Amino acid sequence: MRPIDVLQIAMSTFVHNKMRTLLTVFGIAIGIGAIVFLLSIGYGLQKITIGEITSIKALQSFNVTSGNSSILPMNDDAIRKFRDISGVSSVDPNLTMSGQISFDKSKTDVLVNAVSAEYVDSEGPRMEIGDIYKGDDQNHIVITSIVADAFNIAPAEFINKKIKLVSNIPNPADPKSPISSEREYIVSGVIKDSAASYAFLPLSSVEMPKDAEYSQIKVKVGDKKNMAAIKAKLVDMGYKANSLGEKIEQMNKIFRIVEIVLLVLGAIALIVASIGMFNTLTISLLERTKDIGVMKSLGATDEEIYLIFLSESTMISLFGGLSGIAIALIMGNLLNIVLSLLAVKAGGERVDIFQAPGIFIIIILGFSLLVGILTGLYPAKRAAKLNPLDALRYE
Amino acid sequence: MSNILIKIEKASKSFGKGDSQVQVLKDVDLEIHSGEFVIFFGPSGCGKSTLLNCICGLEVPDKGKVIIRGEDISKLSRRDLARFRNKKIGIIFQSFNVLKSFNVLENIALPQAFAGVPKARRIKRATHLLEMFGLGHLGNRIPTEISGGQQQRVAIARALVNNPWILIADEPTGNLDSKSSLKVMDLLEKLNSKSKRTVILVTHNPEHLKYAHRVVYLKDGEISKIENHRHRESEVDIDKIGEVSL
Repeated sequence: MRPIDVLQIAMSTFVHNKMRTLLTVFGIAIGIGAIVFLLSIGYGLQKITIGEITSIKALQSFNVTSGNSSILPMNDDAIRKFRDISGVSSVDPNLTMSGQISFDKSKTDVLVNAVSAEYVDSEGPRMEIGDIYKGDDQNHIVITSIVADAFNIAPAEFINKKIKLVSNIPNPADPKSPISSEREYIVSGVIKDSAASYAFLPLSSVEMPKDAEYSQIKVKVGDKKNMAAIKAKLVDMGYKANSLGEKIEQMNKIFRIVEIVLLVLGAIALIVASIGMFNTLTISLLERTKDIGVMKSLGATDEEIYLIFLSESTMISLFGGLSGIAIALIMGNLLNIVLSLLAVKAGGERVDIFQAPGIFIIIILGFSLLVGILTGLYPAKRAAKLNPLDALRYE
Repeated sequence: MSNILIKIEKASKSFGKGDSQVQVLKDVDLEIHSGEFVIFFGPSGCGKSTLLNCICGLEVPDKGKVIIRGEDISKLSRRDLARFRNKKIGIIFQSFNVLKSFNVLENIALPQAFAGVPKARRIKRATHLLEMFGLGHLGNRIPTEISGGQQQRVAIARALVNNPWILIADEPTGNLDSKSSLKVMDLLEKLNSKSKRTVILVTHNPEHLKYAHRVVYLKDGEISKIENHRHRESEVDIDKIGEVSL
């Protein structure tokens, strides 16, 4: 018997029982659709969250802070100590302070990070336009896109514009009255960040008072393998060391749990649908018992009957899988459009919370076929084993 | 001797177990010649259907042999038996058993699908047979849209589609009115006389006995007598029977 004829005979049941077949296909579609939809959202969430902060440079460094600055001052001594740790490739301090940018008669508050160019680079900022300042540059500043927004000026128009910055440099002699310093900078670049209002400027352009302390110190690690050992040393010295890599690992763990929960929910839907399909196949088997008897007496072999039933369930699951994936893709993209519209309206950027990689779709399709085959095995075996005379007598 | 198509040797068959065991066939011996029209006749439960089922391989005797053209079919595997039925035997049922999920042409072509014949050729052959039976206009109908008599003639066309040696019919007129019955019997007679098919028929209706060359009377699982009704015009060489014609 030709494979196409096996398929055609299997299909004839669908045509004969359109409603029942449609409902069964729909059941599988919901199960598969739920899995694709939920997992893609989990994946999308993970991508969005981690994509914002991922850059290899950012992953291989620690942000070191001091728990108690009177015992462990964050000064040049500390920097020297960190540089002496073997495996450390560079140490860059950050002096964080509040500030106010004035431009064209308007003013806005920003968080000022006085840091070296290498520091900015290792943060891995996503540039909207322009560039970060170079190593020995003292006149340029980098702001975020929300700062540009505050002035109602497009980021591109800010490039090479002169702004005035008043920064409040911490005063070690009297922490309550910071030293106000005013200076002009030229905008060299705008970072894509529509949530936080901050600026990077060269540390060398800020006059630090004697005994002033840094807010945090970035310790970069040359080889990823040394991360744990260096962290241990920093902690031994009494400092707190956080790395983005660790945070991402923690987040990945959380996302893995979220994905498992979503997968379980989808799997429950699929199991229910599979039971529905098994039920349909069993009813179809009972209904067609006499037909099986006729086909066998006309010369169909047991294997042919087996294949006919197995392809029936496989086709149901294939159609179910395909339409489930289609439904999930449509729903997911609608969700992306709606959320992006809302986000853009609220001043944010486009978000793709639903992300379904191609390989994932292929795996799910293969999985739905597998479900179909497994569900069909038993009814197909029963059909194949039927004695033709008994089947013919079945009413 | 060469034209003995079917030889049944001491075939026995019983159903059930223990006290409720019933012996349906008791050491039945029978020879059927190629080109014969044979009717099995007898009361209900006499074993005529079981004998018929043993010939087409749907039933395997507990003891004895069913030899068709020298091959003991009771020794064939389920698979080979299915292939044998497909190619060499056309079965016609009392309740027609035309499948409702296919149209008339697809029903007729179905045994050829099991034989692996491509669809275009199947449908061509089915159309040819249907036209020969004068039912050409019904090809695309589904079985529920045509009468019982028409359904049975479709079933006969289906039985013939693989050009078998033997046509086996278990009360083919049992569900038909007398006019349709006559048409079906005439068709079977023509297939026997013109197309030289060997026809073996089970019937309850004594009026049909006149169609047979021989009538085998069965009672309680045994052949009680064999009557010669009319003579076959000539011996039929099974290797020389050609295409179905009416």
